[in-house]
Amino acid sequence: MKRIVYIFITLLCLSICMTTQVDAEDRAPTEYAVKAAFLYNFTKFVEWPEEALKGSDSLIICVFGENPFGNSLETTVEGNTAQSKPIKIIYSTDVSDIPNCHMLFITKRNKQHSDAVLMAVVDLPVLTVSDLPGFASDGGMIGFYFDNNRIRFEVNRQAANDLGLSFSSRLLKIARIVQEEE
Amino acid sequence: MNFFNNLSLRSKLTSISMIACTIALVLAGVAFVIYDHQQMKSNMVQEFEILADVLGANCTAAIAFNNTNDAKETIASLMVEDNVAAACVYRLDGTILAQYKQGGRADIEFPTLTVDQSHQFGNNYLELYRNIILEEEKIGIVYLQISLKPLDDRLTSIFIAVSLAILCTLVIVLLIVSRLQRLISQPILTLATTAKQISDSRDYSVRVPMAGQDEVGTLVEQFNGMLSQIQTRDSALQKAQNRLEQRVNERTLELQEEVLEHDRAKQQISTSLREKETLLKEIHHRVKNNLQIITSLLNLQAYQISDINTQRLFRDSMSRVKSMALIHEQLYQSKDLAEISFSEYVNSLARYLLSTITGNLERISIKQDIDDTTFGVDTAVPCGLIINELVTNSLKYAFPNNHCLPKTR
Repeated sequence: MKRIVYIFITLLCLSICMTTQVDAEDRAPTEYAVKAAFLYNFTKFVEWPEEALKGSDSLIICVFGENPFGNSLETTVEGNTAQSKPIKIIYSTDVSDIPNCHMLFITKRNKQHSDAVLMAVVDLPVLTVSDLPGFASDGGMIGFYFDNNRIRFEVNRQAANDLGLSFSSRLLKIARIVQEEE
Repeated sequence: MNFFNNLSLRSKLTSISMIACTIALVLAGVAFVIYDHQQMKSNMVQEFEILADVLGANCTAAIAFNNTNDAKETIASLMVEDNVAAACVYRLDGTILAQYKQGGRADIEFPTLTVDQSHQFGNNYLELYRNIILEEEKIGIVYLQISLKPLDDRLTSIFIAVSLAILCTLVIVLLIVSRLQRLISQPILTLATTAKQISDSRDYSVRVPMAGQDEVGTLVEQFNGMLSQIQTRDSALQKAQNRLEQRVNERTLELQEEVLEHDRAKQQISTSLREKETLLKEIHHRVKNNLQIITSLLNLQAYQISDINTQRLFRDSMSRVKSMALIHEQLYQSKDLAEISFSEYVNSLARYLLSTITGNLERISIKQDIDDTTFGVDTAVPCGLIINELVTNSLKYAFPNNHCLPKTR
C-alpha cells in the first residue's frame, strides 16, 4: 500500500518535473552539468570490489527518482568508459533496480526517498551519491555541497569501506571527510 | 716554415707531437663538452618531464573536480625546486587552473596554450609541456618554465675541468715526448756527431754504433759501409804510395851505387891512363936512350975507323939513328905521347945535323917554313929519315966553297 503511494507520489513529481523541466534546465544548467561531470569522474577515483563488477558488462549509474540532469549525464559519459567498461545510465524509481547499480544518485528533490534508498543499499557495494545536505554523514558515501558558490563534496569513508568500496587518496585529498553521526 | 726548418731535430719531433696531441685533445675536449652539454640537456628534459608528470598526476583530482585550491597547493610544492621559475596547469580548453611563480615574480607571462606535449630551449629557460592523463584520457596540461642557469654553470665548470685536464695531459705528454723523442733523434744525432767528428779529424776508422733495424739503422749501416770503403781505399792508396816511395828509395840507392861504381871506374881508368902514359914515356925514354947508346957506340966505333968513307958511313948511320932518337925524345915530352910537333922536331934535327956535320954554326943559318902540324910515330920516323938525308946531303954537298944557304923544306 505504501509502495503504491510512493509510486503515485513519484508519478506526480515526474509530471511536475515534466512541466517544469524546460524551466529547470534554463535556470541551472551548469550546476547539474558540473555534477554530471563529477559523477563521471568519481568512477575514476573509486574502487569497486571485484565481484561487484564481474557480473556486469557495463558500469551502471542509476539516477533514482527525479532526473535533475536532463541529458547532460548522457552527454558527459558518451563514448567514455569507466573501470574499462562502457557506462550505462538507468533512470529508475524502483528500489528493486538498485542491486544492479554500481553508482546511485538521488537528488535533493527526492529527500523523502533517501532513507528508503539507503536501506536498500545497506549491504550492497553501491556508491551512493546525493546533493542532499548531510547525506554523507547520514550514511551516504558522497554528498555535494556548496562552498563559495563552488560545488564541493564530502565523503564518508567508513560507509564506503564497510561495503568494500575504496576512495583514491587523490579524491580524499580534495574532499571533505565526514564521520557517520551515531 | 723556414723557422721550423731551422729547428733542431729534437725540437721538431717534440713540437710535432705536441701539436698533434693538442689538436687531438682539444677536438676530443670540444666533443666531450658538446656531448656532455647535450646529455645534460636531455637529462634535464627527462628529469623535468618526470617532475611534470608527477605534478600532473597529483593534479588529476583537482582538474577532474575543478578544485583550484588543491591544484594551487599541489603546484606550490615546486617551491623546493630552485630551478623552476614558473609553472601552471591548463585545462583542456586552454584556461589556467592554477599557476605558480617563483618568489611571486610578476614579470612572467604564461603562454597561451597552442602546443601539445613538447619542450623547447629558449635563451634563459627551458619550456616544457606535459599532458595530464587520467585513465588514459587527457584532462589537462602542465607547463613548466625551468631556468637554464644550472646548465650554464655546468657548461662553465665542465669547460674549466676539461681545459685543466687538457693542460695537465699536455704537460705530461710533453714530459713523455721529450724523453721518447730520443728514441728517434738520438741515433740520428749520434750519426751527425760522428760524421762531423770524422770530417774534422779525417779519421775514417771511427764507426757509428748500430741503433736498430729501422731506417736509421739502415742509414747507420750504409754510413759505416761507406766509411769502410773509404778506409779500404785509403789504406790501398797509402800502401801504393809506400811501395812507390820504397821503390824510389831503392832506385836512388842503386843509382848512388852506380855513380860510385862509375867514379871508381873513372878513377881506375885515369889511373891506368896515367900508368900507360908513364909507361909510354918510359918506353919512349928507353928507346931514345937505347938509340942514344947506339949513336954513342957508333960514334966510338967511328973514332977507331981511319977510313974516311967508312967513317962517313958510320956518321950517316949515327945521324939516322939520332933522327929516330929525337922523335922518341919529343914523343915522351909531348902531351899525348903519340904525336909530336913536326916543326919543333925538324928544328932540333937540323940543329943537331948542323952541329955534327959542320961544327960551324955561325956560317950557316937555318930557315924553316913549316906549318904547325903534328905527326904520329909512323909518319914522323920516315919523314924524319927523309929530312935527315936531305939536310945531311945539303950540308955535305952545298959548300964546295963553304958558301951556301941550305934550305930544307
